[in-house]
Amino acid sequence: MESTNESNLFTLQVDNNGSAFLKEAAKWAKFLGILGFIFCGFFLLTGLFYGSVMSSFSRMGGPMGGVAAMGGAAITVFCVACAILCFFPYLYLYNFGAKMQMALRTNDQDQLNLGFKNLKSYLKFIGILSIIALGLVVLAFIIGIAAAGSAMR
Amino acid sequence: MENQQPEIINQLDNFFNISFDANMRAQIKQVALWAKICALCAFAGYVVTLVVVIFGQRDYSLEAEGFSVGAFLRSGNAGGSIVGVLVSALVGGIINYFLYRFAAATGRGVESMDTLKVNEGFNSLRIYFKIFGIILILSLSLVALGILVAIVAFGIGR
Repeated sequence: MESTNESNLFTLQVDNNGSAFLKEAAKWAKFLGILGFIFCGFFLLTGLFYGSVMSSFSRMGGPMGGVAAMGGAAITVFCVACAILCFFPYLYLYNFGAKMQMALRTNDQDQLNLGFKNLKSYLKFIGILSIIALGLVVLAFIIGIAAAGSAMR
Repeated sequence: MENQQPEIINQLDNFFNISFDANMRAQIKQVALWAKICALCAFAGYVVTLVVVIFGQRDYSLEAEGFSVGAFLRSGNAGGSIVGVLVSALVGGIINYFLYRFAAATGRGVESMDTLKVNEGFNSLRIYFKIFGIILILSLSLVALGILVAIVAFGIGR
């Protein structure tokens, strides 16, 4: 008992305020995760629907039919890939919310650790995607300036 | 019976106090680091997007083409896209400001074992998710309203 008290005196703890803030953060994170799943499903269905509409145009035959089939397939693949890519950060967000709520309800250290682990995974995923997107935008901007410069000459 | 009493006291003592063990402190430091990276990337992205939109629209300015209806409409379009980017940068900037505050406060709090700083960080995290959620709800409502109006207009048009 004395060693437990000693460890509580010198360690960082989740007090009432912290617990309340984490509880609300977890609630909103879970809600965002569920909305994200709905968005991914909607995006997937849109891609599949668009692909089937374009493939029905392709059955008309002729050169436009081939273009429609290729365009439909490309859009379907793009939408499916986007839906799969967007699914994972929302899964991590949902898991963070669910595990944090469980941890605070049952005072479970392991669930709290898992919750923060999922939050780390979510932020890591978003961070890496952001770095890649920012790099691509800067690269496109530089190429655009270079192209404009060479065209003016 | 006597052995059970210390266990009950320990449980009561720990009832509101989950402690940050070494594993969790390491996790939280990583969380704070990645949160900072996300926020900084977002701020940089808004600046780059604004620069691209402003300088990319210069071809359509009235000075370049002289006054014509086409140039006038294009410059209006350009102005609209700049305003749009400014508004989204402002909203995104506010959201990511709270993410940055969470990263800074929580990271500092865990380093210095300061519960107040950590709580400040968690409060910022709460506000970040709350604003994100509210904006998403508003956006989805607007999209749903737009679809409804389009369906009604299509129905009336027939």
